[in-house]
Amino acid sequence: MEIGRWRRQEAIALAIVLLIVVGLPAATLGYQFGLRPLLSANVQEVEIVGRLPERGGWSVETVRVQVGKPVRLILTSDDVVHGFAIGKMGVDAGWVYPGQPKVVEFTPQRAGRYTFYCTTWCAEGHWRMRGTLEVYDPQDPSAVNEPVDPPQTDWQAEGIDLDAPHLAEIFPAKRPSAARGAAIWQRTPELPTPDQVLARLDLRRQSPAQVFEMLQEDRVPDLALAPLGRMPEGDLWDVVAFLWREGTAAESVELGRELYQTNCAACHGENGDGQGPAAASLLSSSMERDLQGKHGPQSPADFTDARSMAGGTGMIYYGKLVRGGMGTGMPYWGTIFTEQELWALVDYLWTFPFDLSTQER
Amino acid sequence: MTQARAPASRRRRAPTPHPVSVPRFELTSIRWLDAILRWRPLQFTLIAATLGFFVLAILTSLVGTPVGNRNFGIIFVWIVWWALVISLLVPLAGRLWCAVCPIPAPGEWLQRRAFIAPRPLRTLGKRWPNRLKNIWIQNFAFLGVAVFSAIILTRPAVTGLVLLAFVLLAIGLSLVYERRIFCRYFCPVGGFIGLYSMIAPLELRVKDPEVCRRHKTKECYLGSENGFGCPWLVFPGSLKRNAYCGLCTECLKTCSMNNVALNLRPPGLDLLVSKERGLDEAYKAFIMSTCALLYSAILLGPWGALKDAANMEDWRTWVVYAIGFIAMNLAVVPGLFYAATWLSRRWARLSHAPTRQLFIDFAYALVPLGLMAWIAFSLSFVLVNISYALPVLSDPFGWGWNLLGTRDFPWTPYFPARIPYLQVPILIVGLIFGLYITWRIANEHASAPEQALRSVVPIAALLLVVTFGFLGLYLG
Ligand code: SF4
Ligand code: SF4
Repeated sequence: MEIGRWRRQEAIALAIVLLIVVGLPAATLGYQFGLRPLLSANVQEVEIVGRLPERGGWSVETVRVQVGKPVRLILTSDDVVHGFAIGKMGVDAGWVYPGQPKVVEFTPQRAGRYTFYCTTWCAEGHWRMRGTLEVYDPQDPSAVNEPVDPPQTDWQAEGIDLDAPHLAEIFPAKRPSAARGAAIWQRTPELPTPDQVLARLDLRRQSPAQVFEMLQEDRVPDLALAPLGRMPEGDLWDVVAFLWREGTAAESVELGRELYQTNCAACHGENGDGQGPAAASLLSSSMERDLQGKHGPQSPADFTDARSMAGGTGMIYYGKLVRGGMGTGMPYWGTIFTEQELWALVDYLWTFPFDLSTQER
Repeated sequence: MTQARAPASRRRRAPTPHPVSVPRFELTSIRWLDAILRWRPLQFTLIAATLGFFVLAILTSLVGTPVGNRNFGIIFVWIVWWALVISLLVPLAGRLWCAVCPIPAPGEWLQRRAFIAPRPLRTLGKRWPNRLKNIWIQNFAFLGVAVFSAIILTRPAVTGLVLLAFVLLAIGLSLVYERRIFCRYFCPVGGFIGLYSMIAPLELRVKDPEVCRRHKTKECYLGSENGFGCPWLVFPGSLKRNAYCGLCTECLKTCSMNNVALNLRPPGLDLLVSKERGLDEAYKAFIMSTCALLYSAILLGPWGALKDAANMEDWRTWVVYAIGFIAMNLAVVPGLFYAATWLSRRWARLSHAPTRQLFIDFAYALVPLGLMAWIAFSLSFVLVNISYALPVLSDPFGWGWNLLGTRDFPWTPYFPARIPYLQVPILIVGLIFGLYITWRIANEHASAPEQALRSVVPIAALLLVVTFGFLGLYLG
């Protein structure tokens, strides 16, 4: 009787122990790796863990998904706040807080290689936090190797040296104002319309200093701009600012502002003065600091510096954005931003040397 | 059977007088509680429950998300379990955790070849060497874990491997030696719990040692058809301190004389049992207090470099850190304490007591302060992080499950600004308790109150300095 009871108890106990030691792992792992993929066969789930670049960056660096098949990314951070976005796909998860999973879902529509990246300054090597999203299309298997919408410009063919300094001989003494320029233009009825002038200029390939000189010397083809040549230099710089504002779409500047504040301000500063919170650590991490002093080539560009900005062209900035600054902390954005976004950023850069607001301040 | 019933009725009529004349309440005089404690499947049932959590903790640690605060293993082992053990179980119930701990269970079941029914043990029958019958291994094991703690506590995979290593070691030892050698001599957590369990107001003791002395068969130690011999190698008949009794209630079941009881008693009594004090235990007290102090400095202090070193950011600084950590535990703090003891002996003219003896005895005064420092220190991260428990219950592996619908429960630190207001009184209680124990120990050696008072002063001063050190860290 007693023996029988012992036996029964032992059998139950053994069953419980087996259930815990064998059943529990089998059930959880079986569900996750067997049943779950079966149940959600039409959604691909990928977990990506963000860690500081020196601790490995994104834990999955290459993610392969399929055109037309929904993807669910489960994003987490292991240490600090990271941001997550996929360039050229319009997927932006925003901030990913440590330990708080963030789920983003999307359905890739075009095959090719995309770059995902951290969108917030997380550490000195922040720009290294990148990974590749390979979108595979069974109909076009080789497309997965092609970067999506690569920038088309050939700088060599254009004769542009992205690393050459571009300091202007002539540059404004104080920040030119587009609003004042507009008022000046209105006061001078002999001038053609701004659109007529802009039709003959190429603001992406001409620097403000070049445009200034063309206006001053009345060298714009087929147009008579003599009154401009007689103006004080300060006024003419206001006119240049005015033309720059007229030549750029307000929406593009706004898009550029958003992109800049998210991706560039940490180094270049919210005001474009090159004094972003990350600038100091970039410098201190660089041996250049000792060799070249604070204004050595490693410091982020100062977009409020009139001399350098008057000498640079949109094309140069566009090129630097695409390629990144070799040897500096400047990341290459060519795989991330679309053509439109790159130019929007360039458009926004002009708001630093020029006051492009419509009201005079 | 008749034998077992007779003392029970006697007990209900009049509680047995206890050798140490302090008020005690015999919990086992409550009939239903007594019945539960004697129910053979009790321990198995409790262990089965903790085993479930334990297996899940190892699984999630090894294959779940590497993000610590989303991993069930990290949160439930180092936040929930730790909070439970340090702030509730140890101070209130001593070694109760050891009674339900799943780590030694597989090994024990294997040597018993049974889960519930008593059977003769089957092992290689080796005897544990006499010179290792102390807790030095445990002390070093604790130090070993402590020095790597920043890694173990934050990396799920490391936690999983450490837990697994504990189980495997326990199984290995069970196959070679009889009973719970792992618990008694190895388990670093057991060392911690054992030391501080001496404070608990719960104890398992025999009702009348005289009955034990006369009782020839000593079933409680040797085992009988009613139960196993004490798995902790303790003879209940001479048990005076909680330190090594795992509260498994086996002796309660085996003792045919019904001479074993579970009592409530004033806290801290065991610290005054002078006969069983030893250098190994004194060192445990130093190690525990020093670790509490060092952890507070690392995690709450303003020294980022120290935190980085503990986190093994670079192995060379870590080696320096580890050497410093171990030196603080084994040399600096004990050295300071030795100096205080030496002063105390000189000043109070306790020439009849060897300094070494005083050093060991006074070390027990660190126990209450140390426990309270651990509780205070633990509060600072437990209250801040305990809210992670809800999401990980729903999504233990961090795989995006939502079992209970609490996966997205946001991280909510509880009273972060008020934590120091809780820490300070807790620490003060520890200090007062520690001073009281110092005073009682001093009186064991002194022949007059003035002499006792003099001998207390240097130790009390050291306790005060340590307390101020903690307060400084808590209040920033
Ligand atoms: S506790 Fe019970 S079994 Fe053990 S010696 Fe005492 S009376 Fe005997
Ligand atoms: S003394 Fe009794 S309760 Fe304590 S460990 Fe031994 S058998 Fe278990």
